[in-house]
Amino acid sequence: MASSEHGATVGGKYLTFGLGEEEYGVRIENVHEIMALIPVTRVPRTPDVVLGVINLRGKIVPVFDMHRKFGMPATVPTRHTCIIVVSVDKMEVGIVVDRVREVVNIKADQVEPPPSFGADVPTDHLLGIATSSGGARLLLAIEKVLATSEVVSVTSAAEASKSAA
Amino acid sequence: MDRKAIAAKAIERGIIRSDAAMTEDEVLNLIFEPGFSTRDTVTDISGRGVGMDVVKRGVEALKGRIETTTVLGKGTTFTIHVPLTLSITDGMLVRVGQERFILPTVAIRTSFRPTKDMLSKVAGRGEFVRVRDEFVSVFRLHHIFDIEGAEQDPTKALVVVVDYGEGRSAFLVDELLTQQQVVSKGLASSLLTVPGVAGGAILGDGRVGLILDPPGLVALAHQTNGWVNAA
Repeated sequence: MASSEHGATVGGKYLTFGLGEEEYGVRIENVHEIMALIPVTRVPRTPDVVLGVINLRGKIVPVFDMHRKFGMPATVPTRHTCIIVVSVDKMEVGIVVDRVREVVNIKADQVEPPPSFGADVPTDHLLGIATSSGGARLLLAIEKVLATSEVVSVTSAAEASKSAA
Repeated sequence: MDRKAIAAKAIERGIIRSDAAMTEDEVLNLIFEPGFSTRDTVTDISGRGVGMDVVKRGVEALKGRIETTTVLGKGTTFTIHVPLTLSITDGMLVRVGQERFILPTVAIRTSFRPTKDMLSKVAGRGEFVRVRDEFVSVFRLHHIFDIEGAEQDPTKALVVVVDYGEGRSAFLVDELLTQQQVVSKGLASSLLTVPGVAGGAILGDGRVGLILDPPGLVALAHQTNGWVNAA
């Protein structure tokens, strides 16, 4: 079903990673580096999805829990748990995932648009679903996953706490 | 500000030559020249041409810069850029539960372990402490920031009295760890703009410590009633 204009933007190399039972992919251009889960400094009064901040070679980088982001229970760290540092709007952001898989080349014609689930399961952060060997991989539009919703929810949480005085 | 008046004055004072070709920005920058003033009379507070010169030197000492935009008859905007990575804060590292925070030392007035008779409550909740002849409200940092595992008994913890703007408050922390200078960095964008937290710094062990902002913290404490569960 992938139309050509749709396909032109979704084909390419993806870093795939696991979250719970599901497999996800982010565009390799967005990936800065992969690092082991290091101690994260919690930032008080931020939403659950914000795990905190880490020191990335002298830079303070926020880290998000992808489990929480997708409404799953918080990540339980294992020895496979990783932080993938991605760049979103020229800003580096860490996302915590259960395991990192591989870099795969996904052709545009392997990508299907995400099916509709109704309002309960938002799909606008998905570029599409890649149906290569080894099951479906959900390709993330990482800038949509992290940018807008988090800025809005963090600031609105701060405002809510202000008005709840 | 009137650029023409500035330029005319500068020519009159011999700061620039009358035939100097200057851009509008260059004309505006004349106000930062030492001894420059468009005033003809000197009053108690202004007219000597010192003020803006001092401001500029102060900002330059911090490796910053000033941008000036002005609309005649409307007003003037001064934008002061100070590099965040170069702002060094002298801080006191405090521990609350398992978490560490940096309190700017300039704000700290005193810290001590309160005895029972120094502590009192208003309406059974609002805690305050007697510091010499003064009563100071006490906010529990672990309540404000929802930190688990912190010391609940004030007589086993520490009270840090902090001056902020117009007032004085005290925060309950578990322990003072060390005093150190930290390089304050922004918390990477507005994503983590949190009241009470001014920024972050890399601590000696490589982890990030949050720099507290006393005025913001007090405002936050007033909203969240940092003392609400004090029992």
